[in-house]
Amino acid sequence: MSRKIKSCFSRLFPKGAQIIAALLAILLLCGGCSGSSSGTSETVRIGVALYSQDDTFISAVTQQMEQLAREYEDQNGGKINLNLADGQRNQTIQLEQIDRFLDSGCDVLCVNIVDRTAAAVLIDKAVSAGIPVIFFNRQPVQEDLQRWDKIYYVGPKGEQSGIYQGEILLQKWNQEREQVDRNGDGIMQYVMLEGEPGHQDALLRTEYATKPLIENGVALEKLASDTANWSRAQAVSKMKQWCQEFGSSIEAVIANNDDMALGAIDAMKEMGIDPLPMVVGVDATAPALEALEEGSLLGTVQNAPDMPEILLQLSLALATGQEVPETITIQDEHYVWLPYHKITKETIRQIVP
Amino acid sequence: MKRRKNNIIQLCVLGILGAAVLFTLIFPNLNVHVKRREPLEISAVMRDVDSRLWSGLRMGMEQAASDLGAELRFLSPTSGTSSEQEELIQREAERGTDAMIVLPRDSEQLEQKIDFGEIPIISLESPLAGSRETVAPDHPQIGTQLAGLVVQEGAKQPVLLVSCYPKSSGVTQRVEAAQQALKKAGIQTILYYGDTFTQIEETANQQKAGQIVALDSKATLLLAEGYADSQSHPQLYGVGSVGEITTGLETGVLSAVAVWSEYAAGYMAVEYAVASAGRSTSRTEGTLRTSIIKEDEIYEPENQKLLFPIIS
Repeated sequence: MSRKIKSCFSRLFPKGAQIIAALLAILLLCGGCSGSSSGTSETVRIGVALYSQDDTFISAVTQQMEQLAREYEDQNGGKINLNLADGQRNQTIQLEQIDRFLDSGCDVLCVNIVDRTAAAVLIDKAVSAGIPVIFFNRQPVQEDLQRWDKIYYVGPKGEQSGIYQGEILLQKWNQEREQVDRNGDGIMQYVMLEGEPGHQDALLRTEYATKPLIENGVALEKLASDTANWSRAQAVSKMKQWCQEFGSSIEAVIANNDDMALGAIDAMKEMGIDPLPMVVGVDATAPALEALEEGSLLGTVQNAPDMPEILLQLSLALATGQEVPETITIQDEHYVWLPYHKITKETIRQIVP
Repeated sequence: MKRRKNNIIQLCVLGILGAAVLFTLIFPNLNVHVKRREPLEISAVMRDVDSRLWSGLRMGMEQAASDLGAELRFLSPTSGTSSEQEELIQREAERGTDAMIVLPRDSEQLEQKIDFGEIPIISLESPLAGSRETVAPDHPQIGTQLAGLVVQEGAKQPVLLVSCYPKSSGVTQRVEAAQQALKKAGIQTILYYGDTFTQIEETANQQKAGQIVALDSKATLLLAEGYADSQSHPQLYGVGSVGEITTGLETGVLSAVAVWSEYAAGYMAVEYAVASAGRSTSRTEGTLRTSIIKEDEIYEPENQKLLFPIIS
């Protein structure tokens, strides 16, 4: 005679009760799942943390992002809310702002980091919250970008802008030697206005701006260099000192950005230096383009004109879990390198309509 | 006995499962993490694409939004026209927003054409019919004070009054007050509405104006930038605390400006918007204090607070 051995569950629960228990368990599971879901939303929230809203270039980028977001909304529906925060050049303040973004439900962060060596803390917060991060314009160290696969950097390669500045100077030096070599000694006497100490772009532009000149046999004499922290006002002050010291023997002013280049021009005009020496900057800001047309600025380098669009497209893809658009090329899993464009008075219309 | 024990166990387990299902159905959003409150959405529709003109306002608005749990959508007409501003406002109203802050370019047109529905509106500078609150300085006082400076200088030549916003009721109040005060002092005034420096300069030259008084920050900015490199120009007065205006005051291009805290205005606007949307009861009371700041008074502590807002 065979005997069926029942399990503990079978012993405790006769068949009917087993079915009821199973149904209740399924209902509980479904209820739990619907309870924990926050539902879908048509609003994409992008937290944009800036190192400083005073920076002309950064301010222009965020303005354009806002404009593009509106256009995107018109074409595709839904809402895109850009929440901006000014880090006031203070990393502690920026980290607090990041905390606020994460608490308020941002879907993705765009970060223009204050201290590029402090990205790890920020990244850890984002990883814990599961929120992708796109750094832009101020490049964190490679090791930090590799901490998570949803960390990206969007920006141009700093050395290229320096090289383009050097090429603009080289062209002018070769074409109008008598005019620009003021003392006729065959040596280009220059001063360098540097960006923020330690900033990747400041270091690279400073290093590479003179390379095209050296490689093409132009003798250089650096009269002075110092930081003006990307600031027009600081550049005015610095340049006035140099004008008092060197006067019209300055034949070229190389500035890591347009704001400082314009500050140098302001100072030289105030000191009565006429004609102005060669002055080059980077960013192609609106005031710089005006100075270019007017003739006081020799040349500038347009800084990644596509940056606002790329930032927005990448943010939307990451926020909505969609594939990154094919128009965005990601290199080494984390980098979206953007091109620079050289701009002089002759080429301005080709680049800037 | 054993069967009875099994029955009790069955009943208990089924009872727990049933209670858990009921609990989940009644409180579906209860989970381990506290549910994040959706931020209040406020659309801020400016009237100019040049963000320098409302940077102080924006700083105040962003700080208030951060303090009060709101998020801001900034929109500005790229063409700088009233009709485009009207379209932006209509679009935001149709899409739905929790509250709106508007800096009107043409108050009358907006009142006639826009149906805000139930959306609470806070207007800046000029009142709008249907808005819950208006955040503005004392416009007649500004016009009168600036006119007073001109009178003090003993002006004999005509005075050119300039504005870029002929349809802004707030700015119009300033213009009218300045005109009245100057007329009372027996000084001839010429009125010019436009937004290009060359036209302002041409008008001033043609009319042989000894002073130019700009009654809005855009016109003041045009004067400050336009006359920056000029060795001689009429005496210039204006309003606002845009960076380039402050530079103009510092370098002596501008003789004096009327200033109020744009930061405070922006902060109050968001406060009122949040309160109107029922999310808070806190609000800053009081009007925006206006000061006249002359070239040599920039660095007085109270004036610095107005000209150089600092966010903690």
